[in-house]
Amino acid sequence: MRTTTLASTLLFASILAPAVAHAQGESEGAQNSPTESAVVPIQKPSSEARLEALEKRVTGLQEENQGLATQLSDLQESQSQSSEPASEIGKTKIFGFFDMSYLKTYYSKGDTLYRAVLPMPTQSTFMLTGVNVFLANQITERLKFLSEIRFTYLPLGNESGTETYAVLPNGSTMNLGTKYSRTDTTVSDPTAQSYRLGGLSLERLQVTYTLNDYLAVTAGHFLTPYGIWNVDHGSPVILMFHAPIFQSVSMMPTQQLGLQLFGRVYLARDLSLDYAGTVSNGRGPEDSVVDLDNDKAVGLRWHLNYEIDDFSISLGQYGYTGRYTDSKKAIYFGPGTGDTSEITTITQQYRERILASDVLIKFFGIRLQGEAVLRQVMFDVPTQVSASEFNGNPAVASQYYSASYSAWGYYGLLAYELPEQLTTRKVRVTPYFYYERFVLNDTVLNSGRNRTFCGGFNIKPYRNLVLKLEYDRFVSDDIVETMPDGSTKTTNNGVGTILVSQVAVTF
Amino acid sequence: MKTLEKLILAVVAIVWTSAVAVADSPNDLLVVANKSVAVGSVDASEIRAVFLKNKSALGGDTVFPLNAKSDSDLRAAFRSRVLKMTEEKERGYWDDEKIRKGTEPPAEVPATLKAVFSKSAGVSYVFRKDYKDGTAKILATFPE
Repeated sequence: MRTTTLASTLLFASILAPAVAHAQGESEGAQNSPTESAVVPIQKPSSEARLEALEKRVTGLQEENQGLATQLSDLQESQSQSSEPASEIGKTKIFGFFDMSYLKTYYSKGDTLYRAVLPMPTQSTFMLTGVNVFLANQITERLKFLSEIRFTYLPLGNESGTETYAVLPNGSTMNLGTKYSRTDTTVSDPTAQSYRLGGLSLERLQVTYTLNDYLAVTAGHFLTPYGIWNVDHGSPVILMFHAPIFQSVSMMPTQQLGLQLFGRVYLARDLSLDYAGTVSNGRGPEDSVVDLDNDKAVGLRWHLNYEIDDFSISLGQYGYTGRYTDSKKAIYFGPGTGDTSEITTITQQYRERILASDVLIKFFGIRLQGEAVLRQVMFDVPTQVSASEFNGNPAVASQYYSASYSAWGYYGLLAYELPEQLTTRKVRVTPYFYYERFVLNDTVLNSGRNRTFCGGFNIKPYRNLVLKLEYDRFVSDDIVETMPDGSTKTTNNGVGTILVSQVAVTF
Repeated sequence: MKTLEKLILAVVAIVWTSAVAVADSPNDLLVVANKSVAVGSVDASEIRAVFLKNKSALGGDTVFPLNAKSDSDLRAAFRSRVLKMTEEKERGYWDDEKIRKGTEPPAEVPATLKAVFSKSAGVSYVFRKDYKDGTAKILATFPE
């Protein structure tokens, strides 16, 4: 109470004091002026002096006004400009990419087998398969959500199987048991309006917690951290149209469902080491949903990066091992069995070991890039393929079936981004050359062995637009067939050529 | 005697020229950090790594890079002197990073010094002529 009274008194005094002082001043002034007027003789200033005084006064006021205007401007600026950046926490960002291609494939004469097996159409065609949409949300400063959804017209037009016949020496044909089919997704609504349904694929669905530069953990469906192509991932980022075959056929799983721990450490000023460890369901018939065995796949990644000015080199490896299991379920019940039982039978199971290596060197616009993948597949339960599926001919069946095998592939890419003087400052033009070699199954002599030569241009006229013009030439190894009478037949497997242009857009 | 005078004059000229050469310029680029950042100085490659989001800590402290507006002279100076990139290259880098990792570029602010002053662990850059003593810690200087 006393404090309040004291504060009120002080406040009252502080308000009153200036008023009292002002009154005193006026009073003193009133008292002094007669005395001064008595002492100092009244001198009327000349007009010139008064004018000079007024000019000085005006100049002073102008300067004062200018100062106030500047202060006001600064104040307005500081109010309009937030000093803190707008927080990105909790905001969902949407972005993505899509691409469209126009291509024409040619095959050499008599190359029917090659033509039938390759998915590329022989007629000229536009090709648009879908759009990838990213949703990203920085949930907290350390926690980040990312999804990549591919909306696609597929499975419309998806082809499976090739109706294959072997022509025997006596001229008769033998159906090798495969059947051709193409998916039609056309449906009609109640008004008889027909639609072609598409599909979507969850390329990535993950959340990442970053503890620091040395350790972060991603949980979900993530891209396997191997190589260059798989990490670059999107058509606007990838230099070429044609992807390495080991990438197309998923010699290494391209995505995995599980956990990835990763980080980076600087070994020297310009030398860093990236590392990662993965634990996942591995490969399986439905690995992005559930695992059909208890054997989790594990992988380890190291990647060295050195960068100084216009020179950089990075090289790394990713090793992976996992078990593939497929199974079927059956329920047995009825008077012949003691209790109802569910029996799960493993229909196919194998262990695989894969090693992927990559190197990328960049200097003064030149890009040298290479990747290699080696895969070993060791069957515990081979696919049940019987001779009866080959019209009872075990000699033919043995050619189309093998248990454990190895597969490998590698490529080299040389590219050069033309200097600005040869293009324009805005347009980036990169010619490239590419060579690839792969063997999809080393126990099968007749197919899946190929060399590929590519050349083309990657042109980036705008920031969000990439154009690619490419020539691809596929040369298959000769087919060596063992005929039923034990003799062998060698067939030139021919050459396939693709001319393609692609436009890829990011948004 | 004349030779000695010439020698002295030459030495004075060299010293004066050197002094002028290393003199501070108002357009020097200063990389500045909030005072909460403990590290005293950093080199260009570390700053580059932070602003390209290859690194999130300096001297053990997590830092938040803050960019000047994309079309500003300050950003252009930072690009050429520290990132060693053109505007197109920098934009292309972030377009690619978004597709690869979903990573966004650092936030942009209109007044970098003010942002660093108020944002704990903030790191940014400013021209020397715009720097005010005591507002932020200078981590590195890139001459004009």
